[in-house]
Amino acid sequence: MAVVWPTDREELDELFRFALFLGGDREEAARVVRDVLNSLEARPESSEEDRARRFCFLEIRKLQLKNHPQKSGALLKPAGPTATSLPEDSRVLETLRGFPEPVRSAAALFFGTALSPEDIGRVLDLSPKELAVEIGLVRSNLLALGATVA
Amino acid sequence: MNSKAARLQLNLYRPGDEAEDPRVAQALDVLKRDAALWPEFQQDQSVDAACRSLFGGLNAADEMADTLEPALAEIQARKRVHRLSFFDPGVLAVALGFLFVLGLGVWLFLADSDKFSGYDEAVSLSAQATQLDVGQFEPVETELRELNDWFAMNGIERFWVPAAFAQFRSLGARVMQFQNVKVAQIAISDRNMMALIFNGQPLGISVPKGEWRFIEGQPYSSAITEKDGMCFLVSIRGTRADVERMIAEVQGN
Repeated sequence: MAVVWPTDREELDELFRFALFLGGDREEAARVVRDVLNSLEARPESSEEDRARRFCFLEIRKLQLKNHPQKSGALLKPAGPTATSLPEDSRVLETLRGFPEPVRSAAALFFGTALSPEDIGRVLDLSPKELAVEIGLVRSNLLALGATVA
Repeated sequence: MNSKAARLQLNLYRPGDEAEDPRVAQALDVLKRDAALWPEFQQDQSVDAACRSLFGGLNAADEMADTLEPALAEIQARKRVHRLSFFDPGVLAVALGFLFVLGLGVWLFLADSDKFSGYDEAVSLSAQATQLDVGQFEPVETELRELNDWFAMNGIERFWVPAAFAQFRSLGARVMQFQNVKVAQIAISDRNMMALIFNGQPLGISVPKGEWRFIEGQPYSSAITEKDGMCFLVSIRGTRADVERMIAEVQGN
């Protein structure tokens, strides 16, 4: 079965980025992406670009959550003041990684570019409204973090 | 779309989405009309840009060459192999075509498998012999195995009847000439059969030893077998299937 996605370095990078964000280990992330590509090849999804794309992210998330279990739950709206800008990158990344699932995956996929909001919802089993609410909460929590640092 | 719905929709806005999704375009229209939405929207876009940049930094610079690109190249190489797999439409079409031609060949071979060396001569001989009626035979009523002497006296040097037909009774017998070959011809009482015994070699007629071959004819059909160059051809009124059935019955007995 022909694999129609990914086909280039940028698309591979998107997969690696997501795997690395969820797992935190570069070597493991590369291995997970490679394994997912190999399993994609045998799937009917491989012949249709959108399905191949969703399958890859879905599988990476499944493997990485198995390797690195994360608490699940909803993100709360921060009670305190919010800043107008974010703190330094490392703190943002650390904070995003600490978010519960599926918010954490939603943020990673939303700030990536490989999946449309609609496809993110399909991968994470979230409605467009739920996804919109979660992304709004991600932003306000990051800005609250900025206020704390300031 | 009201401001609240637009706000929610814009939560998922990424530059360029308006071209893809009409709901995003509607939300942007609301945004243009509602100045209160602007500050928050701009701040959201600023956060998103920073986060996108941050995620962009998580690239696979080192792992790309070592692991990911080879993995993708391997899959793409297999992709080329897969194009030649049996289930690809092109290959499938060629394979089906090949199977069709092969099947046709096998069918033609099987259809032709009744043919044997000297088939056409056997058909002619059978057709000529079955034009006679019993009145043209010498009345000889005996078992076929007893006809050896009668035919010897009438110029047939070699005579042979398959064991399964040995006890069939004759109504009459005669010697006919076919392409300068003497042929023993017997009218048999059972099922109005007619049998021919002859040396197949001068006529080029040869059948695999111990096997029967069949000739579809109208109104008579025939079966022929051979032993040591001597052919035994038996005809009955009916189709090839009738002859096959008759041979099976006779051999069963």
